[in-house]
Amino acid sequence: MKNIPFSFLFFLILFLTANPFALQGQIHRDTIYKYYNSIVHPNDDVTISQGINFYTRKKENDTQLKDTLSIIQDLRLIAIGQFNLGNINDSEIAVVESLTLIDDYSKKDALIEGRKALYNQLGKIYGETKNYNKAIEVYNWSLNLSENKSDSITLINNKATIYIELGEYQKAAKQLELAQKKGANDTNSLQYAMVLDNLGFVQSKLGKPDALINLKKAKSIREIQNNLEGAYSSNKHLALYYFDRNNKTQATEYAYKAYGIANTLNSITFLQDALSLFAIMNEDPKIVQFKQITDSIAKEKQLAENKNAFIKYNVANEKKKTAEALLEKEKEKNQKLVFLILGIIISLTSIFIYFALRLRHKKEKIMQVHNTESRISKKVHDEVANDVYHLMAKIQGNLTENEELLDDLEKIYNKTRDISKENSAIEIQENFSGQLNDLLLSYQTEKTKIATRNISKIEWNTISEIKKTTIYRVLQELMTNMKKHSNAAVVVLSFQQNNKKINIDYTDNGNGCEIKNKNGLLNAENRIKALNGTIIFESKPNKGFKAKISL
Amino acid sequence: MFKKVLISEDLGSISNGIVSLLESLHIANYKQVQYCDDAYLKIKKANLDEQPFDLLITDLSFKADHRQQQYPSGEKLIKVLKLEYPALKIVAYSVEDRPQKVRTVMLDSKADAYVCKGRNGLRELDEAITAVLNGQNYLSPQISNALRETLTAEIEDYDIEIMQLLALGQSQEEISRNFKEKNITPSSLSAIEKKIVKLKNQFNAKNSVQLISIAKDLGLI
Repeated sequence: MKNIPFSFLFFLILFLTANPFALQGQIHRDTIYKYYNSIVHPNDDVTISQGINFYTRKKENDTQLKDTLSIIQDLRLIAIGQFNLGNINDSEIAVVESLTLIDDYSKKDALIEGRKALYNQLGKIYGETKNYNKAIEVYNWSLNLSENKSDSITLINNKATIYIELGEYQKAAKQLELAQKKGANDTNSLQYAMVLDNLGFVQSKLGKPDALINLKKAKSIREIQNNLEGAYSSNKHLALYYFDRNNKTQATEYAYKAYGIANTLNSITFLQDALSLFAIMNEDPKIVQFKQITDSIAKEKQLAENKNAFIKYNVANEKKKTAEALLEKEKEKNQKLVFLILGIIISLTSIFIYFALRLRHKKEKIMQVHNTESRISKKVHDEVANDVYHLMAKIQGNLTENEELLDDLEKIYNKTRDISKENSAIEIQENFSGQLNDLLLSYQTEKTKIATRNISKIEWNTISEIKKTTIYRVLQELMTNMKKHSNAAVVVLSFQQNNKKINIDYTDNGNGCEIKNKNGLLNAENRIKALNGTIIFESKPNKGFKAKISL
Repeated sequence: MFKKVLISEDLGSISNGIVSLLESLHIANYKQVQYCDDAYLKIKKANLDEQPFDLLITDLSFKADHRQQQYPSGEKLIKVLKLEYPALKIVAYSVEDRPQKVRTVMLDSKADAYVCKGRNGLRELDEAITAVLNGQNYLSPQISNALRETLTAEIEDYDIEIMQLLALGQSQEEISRNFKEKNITPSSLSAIEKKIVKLKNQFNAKNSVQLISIAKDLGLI
């Protein structure tokens, strides 16, 4: 158990970096201090388990308060406690959870110290579980964050002990020499003694001449400072030094000294460690063999435990995942329900809107039919019925000759035919431009000439049927209006296409009028408005008539 | 004169008018039907009996009733009959006077004559029968233009150009030269002269001055 002395130094870092009372409002200070000490300085009053228990509950409380900093602190103490109890896996879980919280924390730069300490703890966990490569990697992360010299000395020292465990003494020596250099300005500190002691041990293994000097120097510093744990380590290393050099007298002497200190410390671990020294140095090969076998069994056991812990951890993880999946399922179910309800609401609303719109559309349609009907009926009344009545009156008065009667009748016949033509369904033909031409042509007389511009340039096949019908009807109405009122000599219709939009400019040089009562053209206007188009009329007496259609 | 005539017309009064006309022409052998399908069957049967009709006078639009008609309109009937019995002469007799319709019936369905119902309808029908008998086509006077190349006067960019130059006071010779420089064809003096005459006619103008005045009023230039 060579690294026992180093663990205490880790607690030292904790003291330096974290104030246990920070951010802890509700719980009484004394209570916190008591449990803090139970973990950092284990004693008989309160057991480590009680400490862990306290911090586990405190963590739950802090989680509810969403006090991330306190949660990180709680987890760190749980990690240390679990490590000291030998629950390496639980310790690791606590460290990882704490590190995750730091990563997600918005002001994580302020928590560098905490992160460093957690990496150090993780390094120890990996060292303990003999996962040496990982341990070194984690120590390197921690070193990258270290600006504080004393911190980095401890970290380098811890890293070196991993190399010692691996038997890579050269690498260990290199690290320790670096640490020694860093600590050179305070050669009386316990930290320096620790580095020196480990360096001496490595040098003794490498057969370097400085080994003894360093070991003795470390011992004297520790003795002056009355550091019992340190002194134990120094005596043990000296015993091993002399044992390696076959100086049994000296070796035994230091071993006894170490044993004495272990007794004073009254610690089973120290006693076990001290007694194993005697086993190593025993002359009876059987006892040496016993010691070796005990060690290797312990190692096997540790590795098996690691494996077991790993499996246990995986099983626990699996269980957690299953529970989470169940929860997720439940959540999904709820979500589905919400979506279902939402979907029903949306479809009900759309059905409602659909019917409302349909009703409105129907009403509009009926209105339109009514309008058309009343328009036609008015026309029949105004143009046909009046004339027929007039004719009847003439016949009654016997004022007419046959020929004249026939003329009148023909006029009436033509009028009815015109009304029928205006309202009959028009069949939009393939050659719409020809159809329009025929329409315009039917209004052309000797007195009234009709000219078009760019009518053949319109791509009629890109225009919808309803638009074409509307254009046909509107032009028909414009032309009828022209024929009735304008007395124009020339009419020009200019066409222009802009994608799907058709612009038509109607111009004549007829009488023109004041545009007040657009009776005859109201229909044209309505037709165009129905398709979201515009029609603008422009006229003054004797200035001709203009209409701009955009559809 | 025609020996055997079929009248396809769904209005009795009109039918009677036609009958009286036929009688005045001393044609005694005539039959009357009220549906296009019946007309087709009658003609087919007569042909099988080797006593074919040699003239058909038919309306174009018929009132639809409960009977499903294979030939709902006169145009369709005429087209089929002309394909199957080219010797049969056919006169369309309709209230319809739209040039587009006249063209369809005359050019597509290939009727021999098109007579508009009207005050002079029967007299024109008489003329039509005579013309058809002589192997000629006949159209009522009010639709006599329908088969001609009938486009309204489309005003070309070329026309606008000429009028603009006229408005600037250029003489016909100057316009001709101008067009030659700009590679606008035709640029010959005679072509421009002809065009200006045509434009004057198109715009009911007595001279170039009035032509320009009208064109300006209409916003063309």
